[in-house]
Amino acid sequence: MPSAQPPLVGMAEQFTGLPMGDLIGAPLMAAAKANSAMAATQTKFLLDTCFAKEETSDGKENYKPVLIKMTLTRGVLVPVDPDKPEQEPKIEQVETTFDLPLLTVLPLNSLAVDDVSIGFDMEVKSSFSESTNEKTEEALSAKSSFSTKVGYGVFSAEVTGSVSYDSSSSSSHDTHYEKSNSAQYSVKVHAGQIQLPKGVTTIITAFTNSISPIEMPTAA
Amino acid sequence: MLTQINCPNCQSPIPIDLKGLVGGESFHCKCCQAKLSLSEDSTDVVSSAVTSFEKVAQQAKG
Ligand SMILES: [Zn+2]
Repeated sequence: MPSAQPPLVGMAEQFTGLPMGDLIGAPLMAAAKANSAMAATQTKFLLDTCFAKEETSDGKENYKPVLIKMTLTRGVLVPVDPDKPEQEPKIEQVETTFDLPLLTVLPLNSLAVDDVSIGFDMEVKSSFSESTNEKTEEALSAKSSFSTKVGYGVFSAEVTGSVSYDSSSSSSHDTHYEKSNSAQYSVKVHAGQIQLPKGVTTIITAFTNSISPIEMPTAA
Repeated sequence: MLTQINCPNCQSPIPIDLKGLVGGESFHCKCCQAKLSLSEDSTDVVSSAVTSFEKVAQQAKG
């Protein structure tokens, strides 16, 4: 185990230099600017295309919504013979024409910058590693000889022999110390488009409600 | 160019392709089967509005 290890860097310090405000703020600001420019374009388009400007008798400008004519065809159940209500009714196709403000059919909110996503990953890694490699090689060769005399009474014998020992050992030892601290930051900023302003939707709803077809009273 | 108009009969939203509408296409309400189309008198108005709208939308993208 190594005795003195280099110190690991502090994660927080690594991020202090990063211009986070710019990284996140700049794209958002660009999107906001684009959106506000688009709002102005939208308004101009709305007034130029969807409204007809007319001057009132007292010299004031008046914007009147441009109306388009729509045709609605729907099936209406009518009795085959009004005198015989027990009979199966038949479906009659009834055509209704109604006026619709042009601005209600144009997908105005699709003009805005609807989605801003800023995403980036930051990773700071601090680590050190140390490898130790130990190799031991041992070659041992031992030779010893012995001679001993063994006596068996009157006989004597001499025994000679040899012992040999040959050994080779090799061991490899790897130690890998790794110490690391790392920080990974995933930054995701999302700005979405909100619906049309309440005022605009109220106007559209008011228009829509006022143009709901009214059924003509059927002749008795 | 997709938009939607609430069915005047049952208030369900009817998805409408504006170009198709200008071209004389009819759109059906999935809920009550009512058929919605543009009257011929208004074809020119909607057609020029769609053209201007596309210009503005192009501007928005670029
Ligand atoms: Zn319907």
